[in-house]
Amino acid sequence: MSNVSVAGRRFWKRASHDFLRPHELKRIKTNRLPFFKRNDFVLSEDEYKDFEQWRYFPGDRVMITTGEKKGTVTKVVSYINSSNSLILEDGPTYRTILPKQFWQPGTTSYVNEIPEGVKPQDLKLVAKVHDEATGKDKDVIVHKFEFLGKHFNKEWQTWLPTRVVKDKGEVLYLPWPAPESPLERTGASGEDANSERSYYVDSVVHNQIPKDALKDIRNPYSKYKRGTFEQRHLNKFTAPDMPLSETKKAYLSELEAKKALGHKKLTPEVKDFIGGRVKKFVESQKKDLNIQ
Amino acid sequence: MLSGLAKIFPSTLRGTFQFSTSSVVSREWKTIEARRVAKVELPNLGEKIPAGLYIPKEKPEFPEYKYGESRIFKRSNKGLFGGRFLQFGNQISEKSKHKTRRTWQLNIMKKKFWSEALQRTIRINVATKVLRTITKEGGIDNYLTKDKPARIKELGPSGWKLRFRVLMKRAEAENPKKNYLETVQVGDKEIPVYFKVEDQKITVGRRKLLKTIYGLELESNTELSFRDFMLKYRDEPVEKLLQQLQSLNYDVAQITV
Repeated sequence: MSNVSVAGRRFWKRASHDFLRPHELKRIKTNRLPFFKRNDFVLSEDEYKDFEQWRYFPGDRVMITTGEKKGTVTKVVSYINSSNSLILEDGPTYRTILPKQFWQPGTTSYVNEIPEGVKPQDLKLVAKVHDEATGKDKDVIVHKFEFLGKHFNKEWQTWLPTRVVKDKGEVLYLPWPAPESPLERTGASGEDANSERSYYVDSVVHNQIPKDALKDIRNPYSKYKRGTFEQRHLNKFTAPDMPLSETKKAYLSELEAKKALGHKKLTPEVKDFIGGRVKKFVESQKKDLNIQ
Repeated sequence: MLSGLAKIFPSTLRGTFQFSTSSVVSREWKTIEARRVAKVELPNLGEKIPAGLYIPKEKPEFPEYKYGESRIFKRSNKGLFGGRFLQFGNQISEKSKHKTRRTWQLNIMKKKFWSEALQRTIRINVATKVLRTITKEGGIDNYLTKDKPARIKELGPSGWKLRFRVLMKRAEAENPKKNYLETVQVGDKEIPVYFKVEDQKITVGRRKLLKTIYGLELESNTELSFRDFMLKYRDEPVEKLLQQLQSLNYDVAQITV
């Protein structure tokens, strides 16, 4: 059983979808003052994550199908993740007030023209096709394309979905735009390095690898390498000692005091005293038993 | 006839014909003395660590309790039960002498005791028999710190841990910890001296000395990690650290008196 009551659950259900009733929303919309905030933001869970959702890639040539700029052919510049839209090189713009902290070098006014995002569904891809009749490349607007599996893109050095146009059993591949400058390789070896063979076993008896090179070949962080048992390991097993109680301390000090006294040797006077007592006893015994 | 009925419906008769054979819940030394702590076989220093050996991440906090933890009546591991356990026996009906198994539970109470050594209350489950002993001894500290073998057996693992805490506090009170050698009067202040190197009296600890050296070495070698630095210097004596500071053009007068 949930700890939210029935009334509480009803409240949360309404809060998660539309907290305001439709008539309340309508009243707010009609009565509110002029508003500058744009409402094309999407929830974070609805943001596009895949190329299949974006459909276009920065560098793609596209044609705008709606709005004032309908029919213009431009390039995709970047994505706006917060609104699932694309910024175009020669796309639509809107006029807005820019606070001074957002001014770019060259801005002189608070009122500025800012590029407006265009949704992927309002665009059409422009592809180049070789025309055999004229022997030249020509631009073609792709009405509909789809994704067919994935391929390793050498220019981007990653796996990308394959864009294709299917028409009457024919499949035409639409390449992704290449990066403006080739990707730099930092610290990594080439892609063919893994298939290159550099070590050949010549002898079963002798190891050709020098001893000093073994450190580089073997995994220094291997879990099977446990090292030697050192003092720091031993410390992990040694528990502290129980301190002595007061009575135990007193007992030990008493023992030590006794030890400090040592064994005393009998003095001649004591010896005479003991001997005299023994003699007296023996004589008294003889008297009693009449022994001579 | 009754015995036959009792066999068929023992529960119906339990209320009407029952009496308890009173039994003293006694201390069972046998169950305590038979307990052992598993010994870990450790390799000698310098030998290879065997594959099966688990090396704990932390040092043990308490000394090892000779009798370990109880495998039966595990509740006793968490309190002061005075070496007492559950007792088992029969409940015998008055007329038919029918026997049903029963147990004798301990009288356990949750109590707070003021510990004079720890200067705090100890909240723990105690058997009422132990409660009586504690009052007789004159406080929980005295109960925990008695040396008789019987007392150590009846303390149990949690009592043993409390004993360690109490005795440690008493030992600290007797010989308070002093991490400096002496103090020097400079003006109104008493400044502690941590090391003496020849005639110089150093007024900072080892950690601060190392940190200043690290800061100075970083100026010349920006990629030096603190870990590598510590591996190099952790075992060096203070004399060498002071020499290193002087070699790095550090004014030693800042840390000496």
